[in-house]
Amino acid sequence: MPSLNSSSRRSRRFVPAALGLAATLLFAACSGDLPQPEPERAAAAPEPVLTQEQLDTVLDEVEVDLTTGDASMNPADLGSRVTGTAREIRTAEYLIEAADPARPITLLPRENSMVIVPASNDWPRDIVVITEPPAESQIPRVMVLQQETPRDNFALTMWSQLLPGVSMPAMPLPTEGAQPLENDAEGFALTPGEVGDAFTDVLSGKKADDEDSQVELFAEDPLSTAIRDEYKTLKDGISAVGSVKKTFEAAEDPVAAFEALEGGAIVITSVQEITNFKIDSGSLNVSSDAAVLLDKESINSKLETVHELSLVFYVPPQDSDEEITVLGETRDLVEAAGK
Amino acid sequence: MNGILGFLRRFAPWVVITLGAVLAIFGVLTRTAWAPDPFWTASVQPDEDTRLVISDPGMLNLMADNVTIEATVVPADDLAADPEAEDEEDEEPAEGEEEETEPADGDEAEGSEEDGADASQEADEDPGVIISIARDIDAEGWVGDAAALRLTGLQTESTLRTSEVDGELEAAASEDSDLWWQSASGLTDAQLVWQKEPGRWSAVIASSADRKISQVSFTWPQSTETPLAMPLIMGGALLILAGAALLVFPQALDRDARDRFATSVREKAGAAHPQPAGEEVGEEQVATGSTTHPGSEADADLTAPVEDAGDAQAAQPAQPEDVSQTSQVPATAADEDLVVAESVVAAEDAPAISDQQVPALQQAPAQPQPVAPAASAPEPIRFAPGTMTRRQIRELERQRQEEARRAKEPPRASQPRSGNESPGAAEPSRAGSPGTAESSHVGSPGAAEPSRASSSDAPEQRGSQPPVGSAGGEAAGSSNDTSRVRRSEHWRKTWGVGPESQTDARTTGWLPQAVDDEEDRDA
Repeated sequence: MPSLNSSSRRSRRFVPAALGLAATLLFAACSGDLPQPEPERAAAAPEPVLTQEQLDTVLDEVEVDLTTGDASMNPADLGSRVTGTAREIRTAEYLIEAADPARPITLLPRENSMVIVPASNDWPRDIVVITEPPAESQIPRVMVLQQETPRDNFALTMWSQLLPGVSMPAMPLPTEGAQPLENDAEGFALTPGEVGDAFTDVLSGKKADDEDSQVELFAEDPLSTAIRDEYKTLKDGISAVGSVKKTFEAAEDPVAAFEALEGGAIVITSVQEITNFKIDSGSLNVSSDAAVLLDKESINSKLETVHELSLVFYVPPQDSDEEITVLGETRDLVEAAGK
Repeated sequence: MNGILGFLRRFAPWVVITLGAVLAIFGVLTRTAWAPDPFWTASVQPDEDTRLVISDPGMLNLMADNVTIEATVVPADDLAADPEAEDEEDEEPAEGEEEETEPADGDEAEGSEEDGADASQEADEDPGVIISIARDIDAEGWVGDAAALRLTGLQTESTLRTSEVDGELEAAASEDSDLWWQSASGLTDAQLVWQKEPGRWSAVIASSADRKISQVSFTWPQSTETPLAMPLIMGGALLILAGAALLVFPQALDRDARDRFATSVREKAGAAHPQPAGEEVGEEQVATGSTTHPGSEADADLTAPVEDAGDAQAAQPAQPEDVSQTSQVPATAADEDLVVAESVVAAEDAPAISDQQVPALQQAPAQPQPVAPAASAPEPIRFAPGTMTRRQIRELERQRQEEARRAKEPPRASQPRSGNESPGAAEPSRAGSPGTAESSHVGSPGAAEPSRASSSDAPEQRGSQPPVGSAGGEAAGSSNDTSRVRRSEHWRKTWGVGPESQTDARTTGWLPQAVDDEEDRDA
């Protein structure tokens, strides 16, 4: 009996230890079984930055902001969805239309016929929207919505309008996403970053055989022709009272650039056309638009106007014989200063 | 073994009912007390000043397709360092305190209105905390280089595993980013429910400039299905019903039906080996040894086999098989004992029958019908549990013995116990009942053997009986009732069969004859 007692005592002593061990093992087993995150595999290639649903939301909000601003003709009401060049141009348009209702603001329809959505994991991100032709025109607009940083929202940064008769190259569907191009992307007649600068040669009327001239890369386009013609006219007209000089400054970076499905690229960029008038004697009556911005109709010494050229190019592949084609372009007065 | 079987048989219904109840209770418990928690919640309370929390892809649907994300913020240093905002913040809690301490209804209403207005105003300007869902790439991009707490999994069942992302403390709460798939905001806490969608998704929780995140929790719904519950409950219910049925209809388990079946089998076999029923029953006669003449055909029927055994044992201990099987048979022997005795006896005497019997007995409950034909003739007087009480049997025996005695009275002097001594003559009066009982009672081994043989060879049994009767003839004939009693007592003493151990009144009726024979021989 004593042995029994001692053994039972011993076993009693072991009970808590055994229980503890069991609990530890159980706990260890349980903790080992904690589920781990099992995300889907990351896509091999970047995905479109927006879904159709998100795109619609963005476009709706852009429209709301535009409509709000257009209704009050007050740039302050444009909201956060209109920025950059687009905001500048719109601001100028409000002033011009307010002064002369015969020169209305540019209509930007909400309905679109084509959207280029980038497939990208980086910023900035640009969406290109080709709208349906507005009511008063047969020409579709091209809008660029840019998200500069992750914490910014997509906002209308510029718009242009397609030239009559041109057709957009085939682009990937929004659900697939287009491949955005870096400024220095190779494989094209020009890198996207060089297009705007090269186009200034065309605008400024460089000859094909001039040094560093890249004029021959570009096909004829109506806007540059018109600008050159206007420049010549101005020179002739102002020669009695002073002089005029136009300079063109291409934006450092293109606004957007995408690779087209069948090779080539769409490059959207802007160029500033700066016109400087110098009055030596007398005064100069300024154009109506400039007068609105300037808030006076004539200047006595100098005048500087700035036009924003919003340009859409098709850049063919490097080996192609095609020329760089201007698909769309607009010229908007955004600034005028003089005295 | 028999005891265990008997115990089981007696308590089987209760065992089944108990088992069923236990199963059903388990089933109900799995649905109630043990039911799985419908939610799995894991949370984290950041120790350090945390303004941004981002979850790894896969975290949202770690435990289920649905997740409810909750985040709480508390006031903290204002990162915006806007003095106006600080002032507002200072006023804010003061108002809240006032409202809490104001008991008056009108004031309270005013206070709540003010509070609502303030809250909405603040929500417009400063959402407090925002929970957003975005693609993991976008969420990463949105957080950028800011300091953040990254949720990477589960630390324990109720704790989220985190890792610190170094960077500058930023308060970048923004509710309407184009990157957000979903978002929710609140002044002090926010809740967002996310349903799984294809892709890699992350949650971003951001506080406003003057608040820090105090707690983040993920709650996933869990399956509350208890697939075992219904089978357990149904199975338990069935067992309870089955147990109840066994209580109400014990025959299902009972020897009765089985015996009847066995009887019928034996009777069928009786065509070749008459005396089928004779093997049944019969434990009682061991105890009897009482004076009276057995007489009762029905009893003989029932008791014959055991009588055989018992007598054989008593008369001839040299036969170990019989002893082993029968000596222990008490007057109140249960049916199992009978069964065993039967089978053994049958095995010895009539292998052919035993072969049929054993399986027949085992299958008895399933095949009760064959009993009918066998039961028809001897039914009224046959002994079977439940059909006659011992008292009835005793009375019946007594009556028959009286009648027999009266009938024998005259010739007794010259030819005592003609019924016993000349079974051949007496037997017929027993309505063909197996006189085997008597024959088996024969004390002499020589007599016992043939008698048992005869018991299995039912038709010849009568023929075999004469020798038995003749053996003990003279003495039995002269003995009277008193002497019979005395002798039977003597017999009991001799063979160690105490009346106290085997006193079963119902058996008293049919032993005496054999005892007499035996005693006669002894004498």
